[in-house]
Amino acid sequence: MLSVELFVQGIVQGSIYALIALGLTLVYGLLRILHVAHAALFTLGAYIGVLVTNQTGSLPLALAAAALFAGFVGMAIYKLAYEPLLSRPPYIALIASIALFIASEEIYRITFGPYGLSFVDPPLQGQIQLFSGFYLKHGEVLVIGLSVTLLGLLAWLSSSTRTGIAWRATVTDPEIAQACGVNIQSVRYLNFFIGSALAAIAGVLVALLNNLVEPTMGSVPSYKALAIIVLGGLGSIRGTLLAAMALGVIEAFGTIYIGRMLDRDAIAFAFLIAVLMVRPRGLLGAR
Amino acid sequence: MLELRDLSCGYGDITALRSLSLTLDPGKILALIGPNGAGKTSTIMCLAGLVTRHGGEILLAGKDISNLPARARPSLGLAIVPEGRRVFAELTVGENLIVGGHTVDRLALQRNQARIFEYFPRLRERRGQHAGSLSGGEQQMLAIGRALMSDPKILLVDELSLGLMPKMVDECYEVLTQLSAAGVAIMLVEQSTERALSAADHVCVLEAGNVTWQGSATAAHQNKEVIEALLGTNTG
Repeated sequence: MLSVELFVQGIVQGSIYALIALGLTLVYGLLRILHVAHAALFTLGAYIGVLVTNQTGSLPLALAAAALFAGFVGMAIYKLAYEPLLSRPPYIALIASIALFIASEEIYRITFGPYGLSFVDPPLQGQIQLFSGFYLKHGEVLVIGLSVTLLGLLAWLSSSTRTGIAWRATVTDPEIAQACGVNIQSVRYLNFFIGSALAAIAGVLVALLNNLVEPTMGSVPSYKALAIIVLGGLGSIRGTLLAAMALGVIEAFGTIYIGRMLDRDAIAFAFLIAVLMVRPRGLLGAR
Repeated sequence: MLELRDLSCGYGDITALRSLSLTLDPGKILALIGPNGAGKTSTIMCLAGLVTRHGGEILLAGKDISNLPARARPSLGLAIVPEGRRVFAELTVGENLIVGGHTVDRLALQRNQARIFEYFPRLRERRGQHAGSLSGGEQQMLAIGRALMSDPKILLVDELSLGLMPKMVDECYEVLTQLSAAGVAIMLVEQSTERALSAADHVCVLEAGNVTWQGSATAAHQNKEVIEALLGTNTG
């Protein structure tokens, strides 16, 4: 039964990776920018989640506040940092992005202190028994449930609404999408809003599972999310989801079986190297 | 309907088209012909708002649209069938049409889609398929259909016949003729002088960004040697 347990733990972790990496894929697909500062919004979401929960006692409210606030901050990052650099080579935007990410860690340190914050009364600490001897925390159930719901919502939005279809058209050919009357500026804002909101929700969920938020909590997810989108085949949404889940599960098993040789956070890169040797364009890479 | 006054356009410092003036009336077909690099595609893309205008004016029904962004033009009745078709490959046929009709309401969306499926029954059969999986001819039909979704008054068609089977080209031209009979003004770029002269009412010959000949299709037929000489100097 250990393997089932590890598998479920892997799916929990994979869901969080998926929520984070999705925003990165969306930005890369639309603008060809590696949006490293995306992980700053994950941390921002975590802080807002803890602060709002401690103030109001309501986790749903905290999730909503984190998603909304981070969504608007993501839009502002596009407007202030990336838009002026769009005509430059993509590495210029990458440098700006790394700078933003480093600055964000310092801002969190100065604003919220270096030691991190915790929930005063951590929500969803109960457990349910899946089968004999195997328990899942309510928080973990929430992670899986919320991820499935949000990804389902996103799938519906992108395939069944006119806005979503115009969004995908813009990713494929922005010029012709414009000639069809699509406002690609709004598409970019929407893109940053949704991606950032998902990362912020992932932040709240991680805060919930660890009962701790700290200024540097975004650094490991930031490079792991990069590994995931490369694994998935840059810009491929399905590839990203697959890579996120695969990495979650492989890490869960790896920690038990090869944890002595390889650190958990190194597994992602061993996996990345292994996959790229066989499939240089990633798991589902088309181009 | 569409009037160009001394239109010039290009990319950065490079001028692709110099001082083009012409008028296109409803129900008429105008053909732009000329060798590669003559500025035909740049002209079409400039009208769609996708290539920078350097000077002159674009008037649509008397209104100056020169400074409007590309996305504001379809709702004024301008639609483009771009060179190389450029269908949204990862979207389905149906989704491509929905994007084409981005500026119209839901009701018009359904009405236009039904009309396009009548023009091109193949698209109805393939509506759930990814556009990238269609044949070249089918993609061209889809590109025309996508442009028609916005109820255009002026249709800009670039290199329709390039790389397609003659039968497919005939089918597409058949639809263009029907559209023009219904009052749509069409500006087309065509590499085959033969096709251009037989379909168009008005012909405009471009060479290295300059207009070298302009006149009715009848006059073009009478001066066929002149036109062939104009084209021949650069193609041969």
